[in-house]
This record gives sequence, structure tokens and C-alpha cells, in this order.
Amino acid sequence: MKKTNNIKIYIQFGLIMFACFFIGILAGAVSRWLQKDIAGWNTVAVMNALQEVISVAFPILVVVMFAVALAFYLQAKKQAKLWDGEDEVTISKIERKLCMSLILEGIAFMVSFVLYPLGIWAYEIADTENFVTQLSYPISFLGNLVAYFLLVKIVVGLEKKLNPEKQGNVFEIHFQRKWEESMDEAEQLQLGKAAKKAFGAGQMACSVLWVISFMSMFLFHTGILPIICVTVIWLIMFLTYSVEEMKR
Amino acid sequence: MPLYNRLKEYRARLGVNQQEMGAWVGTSRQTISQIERGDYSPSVTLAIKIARKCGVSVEEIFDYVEDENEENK
Repeated sequence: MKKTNNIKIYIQFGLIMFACFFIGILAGAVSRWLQKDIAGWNTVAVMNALQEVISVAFPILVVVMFAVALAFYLQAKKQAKLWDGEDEVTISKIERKLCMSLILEGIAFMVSFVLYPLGIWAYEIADTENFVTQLSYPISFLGNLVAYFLLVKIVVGLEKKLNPEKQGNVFEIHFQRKWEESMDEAEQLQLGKAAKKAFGAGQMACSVLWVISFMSMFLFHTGILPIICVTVIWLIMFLTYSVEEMKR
Repeated sequence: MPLYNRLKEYRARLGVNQQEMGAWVGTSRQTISQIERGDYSPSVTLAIKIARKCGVSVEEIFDYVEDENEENK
């Protein structure tokens, strides 16, 4: 029975390796084929349009995401005032709303790290000059940073009111370490599970990004740097995880 | 593994909420809530702390019942 199981496993593994090999060949072939198409694009026209779109979309994103995240926080705060300290359904809803608030603002934070350089890059290549457009990128980026830290501060503040044993000031350098040290055994176990899941998702993302970076080498002449960046991140994640595992 | 507990009952006898119970035994309200729901099995240290605060033995609060399937193995 064990031998049959092992054979099945090896066959599955072989099929997966073959599928990856085939996908790699396909990705390379598609890149070469599309390269000719993309060479004919009017890049300047695309960048002209892109910079205008980003100059509008970026501030809208900042405002809308902050407004929605703040709405979740305010609902949670209102419910927390009425909470009797026992009702588990209510506290569960409050915690979920606070999480949603942080997730939404976190997404806006990450997206701004893409939109800001994208806007500047589009502005550099475009042949139209608009001072207002150029100014909107750093203003939106800084505005988003301020919104993010403000929201994290007030959410953490409410979490500390609900859970007085929690320690740490959001603006101190070792906030994360202090917060984790104030976690009890169950919370640390949950943190470990979350970290493991994030690691798995990160591994998958790195492998997909590697393929995309490889294709972009030919399609957009991005060079080897994106592949090096993805691989470095992959390696750091892998080594950090392995070193922590060794400590067991 | 099914670890049954009577923590909620003993906590009610002491007249404390989950937050206060958590503060007594050095853990969070969420953990006390998870233990009471059976979603988390406390460590030996935490179980002993809880039992001491309730003034009873660990076995009076926590009980492990073997699954029927496990018994037949």
C-alpha cells in the first residue's frame, strides 16, 4: 500500500514538473510573439493618457479608501461604547470591523506604492507637461501615508481600550515587537498560523512574479533587475522561515 | 482533541467577566473566550493558573474525553 502511494506521489510530481516546464516554454513563446506587437504601440500616447488617469484616480482612491476604513472604525467605536464586556457576538463584530478598517487602509497604502512611481514614470515619458498633474502624485502619496498612520493609531487605540493588556505605541520603532510580546499563548499561536499562511502565499506570489518578470524582460525590456528583486525577496522569506524553524 | 471545560460556570460563581478572569491569570479576554467555547486548549501552565484562581483542581474544570474512534484503534 505504501509503495503504491509513493508511486502515485512521484507520478503526480512528475506531471506537475512537466506542466511547469510546458508553461515556461509557453510563456517564453508568448513573450517573443507579443514583443513585435508591443513594439508598434504608441507609448507616448499611452503615457499621456495614463498620467491623466492616475492624477485623478490616485487622490480618489486615497479619499474613498480612507472614508470607508474610517466608517468601519466609527461603527466599531460606537458598538464598543455599548458593549457590556461579556457579549461575544458583539465583540466579535467589533473586532472584525476593526480588522476590515486596517485591511482596507493597508491595501490603499500598498497600492499607493505602485501608483506614485507609475505616475512619475508616465509623466517622464509623456510629451505633455502639466504642473498640477505632477504635483498630484506626491500630494496623494503623502496624503495616503498620513491617512494610513492616523487610522492605525486610532484603531490600535481602540484595541488597547478593549484589551488593556496590549502594549506599544504605533509610532515607536519596536511597536510590533512590543505588541507581540504583550500577546498571550493563544494569540501567539494564531500569529504563527497567520505567518505560516502568509509565507505560503508569498512563495506562490514569488513564483508567479518570477514568470511575469521573465516575460517582461522581452516584452518591455525591463532587464534582469525585476527577476533579481523577486528572487532576493523569495530567498529572504525562505531563509527567515528556515532559520526560525531550526530554532525549534 | 475534545477538551471539555466548565470555565464559564466557575467564572460565573466568582462573578467576574472574561476580561477580569484574563487579567487574573495573565491572559487576554479573547483567550478566555476561546477556552470557554472549546476553540482553544490552554497550556498546562495556564490551566493550572485558572484552576488555582477558581480554587479547584485542574480536573474539576477541564476534562478530556476520548473519541470513540480513538478508543477502538
